[in-house]
Amino acid sequence: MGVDLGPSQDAAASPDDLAHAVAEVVSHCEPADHMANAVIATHTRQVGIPHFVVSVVWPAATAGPDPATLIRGLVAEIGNALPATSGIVITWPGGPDPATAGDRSAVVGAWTAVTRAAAGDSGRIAVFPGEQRLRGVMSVAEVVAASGIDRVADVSGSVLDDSVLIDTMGFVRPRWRAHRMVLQIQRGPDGLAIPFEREHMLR
Amino acid sequence: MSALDPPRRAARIGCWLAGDHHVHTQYSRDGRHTILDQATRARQFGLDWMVVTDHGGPEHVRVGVIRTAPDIAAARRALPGSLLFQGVEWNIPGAEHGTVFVAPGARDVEVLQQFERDYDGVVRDAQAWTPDNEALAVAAIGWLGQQVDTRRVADALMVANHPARQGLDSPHEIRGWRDTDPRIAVGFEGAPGHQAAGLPRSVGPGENRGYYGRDRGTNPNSFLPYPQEAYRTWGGFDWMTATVGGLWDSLLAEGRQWSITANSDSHEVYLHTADRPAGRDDESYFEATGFYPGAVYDGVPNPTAGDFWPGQYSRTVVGATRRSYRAVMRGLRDGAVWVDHGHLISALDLQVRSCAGDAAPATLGSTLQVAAGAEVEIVVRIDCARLPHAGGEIPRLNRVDLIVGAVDVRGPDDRDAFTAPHTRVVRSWDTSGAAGTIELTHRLGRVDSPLYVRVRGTDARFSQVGALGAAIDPHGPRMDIPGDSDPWLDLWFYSNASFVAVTR
Repeated sequence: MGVDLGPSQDAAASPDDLAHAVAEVVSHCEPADHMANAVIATHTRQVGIPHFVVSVVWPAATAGPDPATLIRGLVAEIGNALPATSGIVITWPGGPDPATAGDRSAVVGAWTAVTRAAAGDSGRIAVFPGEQRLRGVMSVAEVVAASGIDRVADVSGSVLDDSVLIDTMGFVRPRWRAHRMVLQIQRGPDGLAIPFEREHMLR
Repeated sequence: MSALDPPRRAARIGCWLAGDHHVHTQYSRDGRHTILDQATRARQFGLDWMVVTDHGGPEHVRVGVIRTAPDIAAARRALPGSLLFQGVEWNIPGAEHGTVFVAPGARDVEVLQQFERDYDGVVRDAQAWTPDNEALAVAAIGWLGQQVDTRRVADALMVANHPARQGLDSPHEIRGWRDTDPRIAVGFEGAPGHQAAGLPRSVGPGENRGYYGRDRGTNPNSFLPYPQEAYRTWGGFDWMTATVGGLWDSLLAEGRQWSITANSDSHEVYLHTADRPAGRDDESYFEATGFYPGAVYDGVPNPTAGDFWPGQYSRTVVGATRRSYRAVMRGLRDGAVWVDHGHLISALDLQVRSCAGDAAPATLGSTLQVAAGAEVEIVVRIDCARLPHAGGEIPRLNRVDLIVGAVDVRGPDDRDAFTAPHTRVVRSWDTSGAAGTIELTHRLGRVDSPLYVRVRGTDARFSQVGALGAAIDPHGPRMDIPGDSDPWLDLWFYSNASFVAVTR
């Protein structure tokens, strides 16, 4: 599914803020075991005022929502937990027709999130299974085993060996690349790799 | 206005004046030092000129811009000989930050205040990357040019700051600022400030050098085609400048001058011992008052601060006709500028000349005019450092590289182009062990079409193949490592470009 919160979206909101806000709203509608499988990402939309749109993906073969139930639950949130200007799109591969709700122009934005997530080639993932377990120093193999991250790559795109150690710094935000969740790292101090994106970097 | 057509007559360089056009004070929400403090330090570290550039914003436009003027006047009296300019760090609508400053005169506060009121991205809520905001930035540049034309100020400049940091300055915006008025929009920072930020956590901030820690997808206003490596510094320099054949070179390859600089962006200095007085140190005080009281000594060196004093580490050295405000601005515009970190070198002279001796040689930033087929050579003279830098060592210049790029005055078809495919490092000299004055000569051979040349040098402690490959740049700067980028162990200088124009 995709969500565009529309023009009342806080321009200063970080992509984490937005992803967590949407996660919160969806958790009103869905049980915890569905939420545990959700992958929530933000995508840049540069139509009108540039802003992030949010995608929520339940990977195939994981427990996820019934789209009809979900859309009804989310419609009830528009104007409450979701801004009145929000638009929502829910699609289900091979399933029923896409469901849409909310402000028409925001629905267009929500489609952007859905199509980008479907293309699987961009998007900053803020919420994903196992994110809470990625703390401290872990090997690539441990990161992949503990979470939904599929691989770890450096700036040149080279995939790292399983044994390479990463100092997660408690802030791991992978990206969608070729339908895989890829954590981009760079060299850090003391011979450890660190996530490329640093927390608290606005200056 | 091409560097080539008509050929630029070189202003005779009478002196070299080191400076910094990016300095914050108590009049910035995130600043603390007085103007006198920053200016005193600048002088102590050997700077001849400095620009006060506090952030544009609602408090500054109302209070800071006015209070700055008498403080600068007092600092000029206290530091005779120092050239202290009043400026602002402009929030460029739709883009990043930029230094804007004027030649001192009776109306500079009036002009700067009106500029900020009408064109600052925070004051006008115009920071989103929209066509309207891009147009506002262009209008701002045009307006500054008009203030010069109508003699409301004697001169004005805009230099874009830390351009690649968040990917907010698209190539077409940069070209747009330049083309709107190339007298005003003259360049960007080749290296950002905050150069102590990469010191290891054991002694310093442990952060990304230059505080360049962003990534794609964290700011919706970023230009999406910029690659991931654009968001990091390289040997302390911005990717747009550090990448041979990159964005800076793509501008020079149009035959247009575009000056790079290097500055402190000094807000909070590494190991500083004076800070905002307790109780009057938070943003609510700044919002209510419009400034912080000047920093007071508290005896506690701060290792988490990531900046240097003006001139302590970064310098922008301008070839000026004489020691004056107007001459510094003219030199910046002309590109008669070299920059360094850690006072790596003490003097640089670049000449491009016809071997037949039948044309006036070009000096740094200017243009040599030759007939097609002329033999051209480049002579670089560098005075090696004789004194220790502020980190405590005499810097060693171990390698100098010559970079040459072909010029096509038609410019790229795509105004968002950010590569120059015909620019590369053509010669490297091993200068290890050199002392005193070194002279490096390179014969370009027969020149049949226009080109530009520039040089860079380094202590060569760290390098990697450039982003565009070894054929372009085999020993380029290293992408900086967060928490492991000691600025004193990775020193570079860069010159600006001189051009060769060819008549048939």
